[in-house]
Amino acid sequence: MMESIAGLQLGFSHALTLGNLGWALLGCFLGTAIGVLPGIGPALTIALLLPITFKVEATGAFILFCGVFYGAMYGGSTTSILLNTPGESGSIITALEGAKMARNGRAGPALATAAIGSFIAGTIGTLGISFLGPVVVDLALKLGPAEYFSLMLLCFVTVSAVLGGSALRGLTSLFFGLLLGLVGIDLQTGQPRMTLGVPELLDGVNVVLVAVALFAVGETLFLAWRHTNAAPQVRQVGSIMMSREDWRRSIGPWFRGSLLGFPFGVMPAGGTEMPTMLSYYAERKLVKPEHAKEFGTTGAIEGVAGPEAANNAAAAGILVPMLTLGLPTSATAAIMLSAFQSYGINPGPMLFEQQGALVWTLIASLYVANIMLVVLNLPLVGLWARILKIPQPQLYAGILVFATIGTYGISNSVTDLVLLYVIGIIGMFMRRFDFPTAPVVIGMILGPMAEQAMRQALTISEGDWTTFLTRPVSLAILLLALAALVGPRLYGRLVSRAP
Amino acid sequence: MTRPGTGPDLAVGGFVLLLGALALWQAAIIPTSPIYAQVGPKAVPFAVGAGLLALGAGLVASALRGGWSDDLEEVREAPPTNWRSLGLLLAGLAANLVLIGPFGFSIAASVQFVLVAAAFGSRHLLRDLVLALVLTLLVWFLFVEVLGVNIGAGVLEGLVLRALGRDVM
Repeated sequence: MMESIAGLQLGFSHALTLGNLGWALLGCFLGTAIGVLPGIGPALTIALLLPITFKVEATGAFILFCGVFYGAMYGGSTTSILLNTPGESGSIITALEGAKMARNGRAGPALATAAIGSFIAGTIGTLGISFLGPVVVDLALKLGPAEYFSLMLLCFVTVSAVLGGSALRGLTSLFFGLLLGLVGIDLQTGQPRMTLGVPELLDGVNVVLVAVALFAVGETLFLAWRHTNAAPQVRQVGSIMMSREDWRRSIGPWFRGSLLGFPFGVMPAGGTEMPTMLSYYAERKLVKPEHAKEFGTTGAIEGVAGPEAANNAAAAGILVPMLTLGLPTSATAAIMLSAFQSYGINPGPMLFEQQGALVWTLIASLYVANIMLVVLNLPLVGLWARILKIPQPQLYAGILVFATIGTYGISNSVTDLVLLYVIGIIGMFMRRFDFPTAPVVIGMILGPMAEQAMRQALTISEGDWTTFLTRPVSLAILLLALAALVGPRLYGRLVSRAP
Repeated sequence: MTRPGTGPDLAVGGFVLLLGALALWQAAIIPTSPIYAQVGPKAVPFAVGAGLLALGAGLVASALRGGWSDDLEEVREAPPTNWRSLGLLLAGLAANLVLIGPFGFSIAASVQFVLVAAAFGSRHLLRDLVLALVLTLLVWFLFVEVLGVNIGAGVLEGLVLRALGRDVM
């Protein structure tokens, strides 16, 4: 507790300098813009911005990245409401009621409740990071390599098998990522692995390349495959003023959504789909009878306020395992982790001790970013709505320009571009056949870390594999992973068997 | 009831099986040194390859039971394949690949831009080209000057640098 307050004091003293405020503002601006644009998300943007890590010191870069991360959450809701096409998985639910409100001329209040809800959730989430972070660190310091390996296995299971349409397809995505992560020189023995004899692959497959291939090239190819000339319709914003009634109906969902979302983000089940969905159903149940009929018809404001808050709180929660354990549970967190690695910093329990100033400045900047974002989003919502009018052809052509330079810039190699297109085509088919893409990126980053932890654990135990089962904490985590893998199916089978 | 998605689903399963086999083959040829008695560099590659084989088998089994594609709303309601769009987009990527070496980023990416925009239905070829040249040059300067990424100056970048009175890298 005291530790957190002292840390925050230190953090704010750094975060409120002109330079760092500038990074936060730039990040928020950029994040909102890319959040609004359909087709690009925070993971792709941060991947393209990674070269900044060579020029800018770590604090500035991470403030920028976190601004992008938070900003994209705010911007995503604008697209869901005005265009009825959710920008990312967490805003699918927002699109349900939000787009209906927009169709009935209530886009303004829907955008306002989403922005204020995001602010409340972001603040609660950031408070959660500030006070929960050090507690998790204390626990994490007690974990050895064996426990870490088990924890990573749990992470693998939850990001690939629990969320999404099918465990089989999620795990296939994960293993594809693990395979890509193996390519290159083995760090412990110096042996080349999985390179197919191609010398360019000795350095491994770059995570930026894979992120750009899947999120930009694959997505664009998929859209071209299914292209029709029907132009999407952007709704008018109108007045963003919320009536007294709107406020009264939003307050409850904001706080309930925030409290629901944050724990989901913190758990290695890091996803925003589940909490947003739960929040939606909760608000639908709790709504006053006289407004119940608005759900699914004219659009209920509760159905925007709650899920949007849950989405943002969960996104904030994802930063807890990322900063304290070094475990990324979303594609964006995985890319941020690789940014840490390019500074030679290993996120994990030692981060709070060795890089205290960096971590607390980052956390303080999240508070700052939140305030900036609510200011940027409420009065300027008309500007963001205008971004939506960028015509599709030029938008996707532009995205591919950035994809090209982001990849070609890695090493000026045409081989990288070939790899980009090959993985991009795989990404297109993954999209068509409903394979999730985030587990690929997570597997690629987390795979090598898991292998290292496993080999360390086995070196300590002198090659005894039972070390993962005989250490109680490790065993408990593995059992949890097993439950997460088979639990939902057993449950499904039981439910379908019941009369 | 016919299930047209079964065949493609089977192909996906087959692809994953092949990927698994490829991984196992690559794992098998990793040289190991006898010094490492504990877990060497091969264990995890073997596990990943075996995992992919198992998952591929699972996908094949699922395809043989009717597949999953036909249960996806997005696939059932999908418009027919737009070969023109897809072809133009792939042509754009290929053009970029061929041109970026000899002519540099801006020219290659501009050609790509025009083809991609055409793929998505743009009919303003000339306007797209002007837009593309401006955008790619801006992006090039952003990445090279601001982000410090080292991308060699191509034909067009060299001209602009010279016009600005600067040395060409």
